[in-house]
Amino acid sequence: MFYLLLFLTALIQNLLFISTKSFVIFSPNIVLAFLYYHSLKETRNLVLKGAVGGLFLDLMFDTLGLNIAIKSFICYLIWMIREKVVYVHGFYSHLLFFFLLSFIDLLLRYGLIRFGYAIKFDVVVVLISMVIELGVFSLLYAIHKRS
Amino acid sequence: MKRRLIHVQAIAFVVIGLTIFFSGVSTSPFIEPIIRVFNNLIYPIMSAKNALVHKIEDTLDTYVFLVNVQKENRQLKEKIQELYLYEALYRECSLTVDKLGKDLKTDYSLRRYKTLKASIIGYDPTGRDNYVVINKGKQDGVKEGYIAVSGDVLLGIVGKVFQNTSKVYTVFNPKLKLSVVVSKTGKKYIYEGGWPLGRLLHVNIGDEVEKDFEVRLRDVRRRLPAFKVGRVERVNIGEDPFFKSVYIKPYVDVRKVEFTLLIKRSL
Repeated sequence: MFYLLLFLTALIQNLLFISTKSFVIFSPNIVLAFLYYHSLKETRNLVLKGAVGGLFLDLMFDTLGLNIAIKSFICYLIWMIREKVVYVHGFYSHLLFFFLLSFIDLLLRYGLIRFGYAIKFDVVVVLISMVIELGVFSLLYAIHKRS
Repeated sequence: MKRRLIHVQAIAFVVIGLTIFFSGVSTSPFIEPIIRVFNNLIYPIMSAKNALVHKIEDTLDTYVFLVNVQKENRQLKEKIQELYLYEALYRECSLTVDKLGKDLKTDYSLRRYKTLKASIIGYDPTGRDNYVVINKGKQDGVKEGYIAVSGDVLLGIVGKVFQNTSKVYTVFNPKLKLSVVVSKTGKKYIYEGGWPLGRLLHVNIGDEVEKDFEVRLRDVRRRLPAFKVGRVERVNIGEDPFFKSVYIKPYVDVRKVEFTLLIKRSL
């Protein structure tokens, strides 16, 4: 069930890719929001789940390997912080933490893809994407709190 | 033990992911069919999404275009109001000049010209812009020698007239020879068409003709306005030591012109 939801999330992320003139790496990171939401409930196999989510994205965006590596790494970071360092409390702390992770994800995606392609950093699209993914994260967090 | 496994798992996924990405495995003949099958599964959703995105972008583009057109329309309306004023002034001037012409017994008068609007429907296939074809011909009253202009710039002279179309010899056509005047000095010369530069014929070595001087059409009977022909591009010492070679860059850009105004009068 979780993997089906993850697939649907990846599909939604692909659908939310805003402009045809921009590049796919700037689409709102809904998969990461979903993985973070899931990590609030359980952290078991989180790295594997991140890798599978990345695989779905890679298959849709035709960037095989890129999202697998990044999503695994980000999920590993989430796991490390949740398990070993500190437990984040409260909505705004989670939001800030998610924002930082999402930003690291974006920088890694952009940095790695720049090795192969000369892509302009589309600030407007990135800002819109950030707003969308923070909105989705807030929604998921609210669902988590209700449940 | 389990925690160590997670560390190893994370490192392994990152290394595998980066290896796959940088080695370009996705284009290999083994992996490509799998990706294709996956893409085929989600294709209907993706195509529907693309259609929607294109539709929204088209709608937005149309909206922006209409807003611009509205703005331009407002500016043009203001410009028309201004031109009404100039028209009134022009009428006043016309009357004064007519009166002066009568008093001085000269044929100098501002007059209205009979004109005909035509669309350009064909170009010279040689690429030298020697002529253009317009959509008006014998049945519209076009005659050889009529003058074709675009704004205040001379396009050419009607060379051949057919039933529904006509051929206008442009200022790039070597067959075209006109009487012109150099604006700054007022001296008259013969202009010979040429591509990409026309020429002024028989410019004496002592004549003051320099680069960027403007060349205008000259009607011997002074019945036509002095339409712009071009500007002096370069001046060389000619083969004949008594004359200069003066090259003219015509103002008209034949490929840009879509409509032309035919003045029903020949030179």
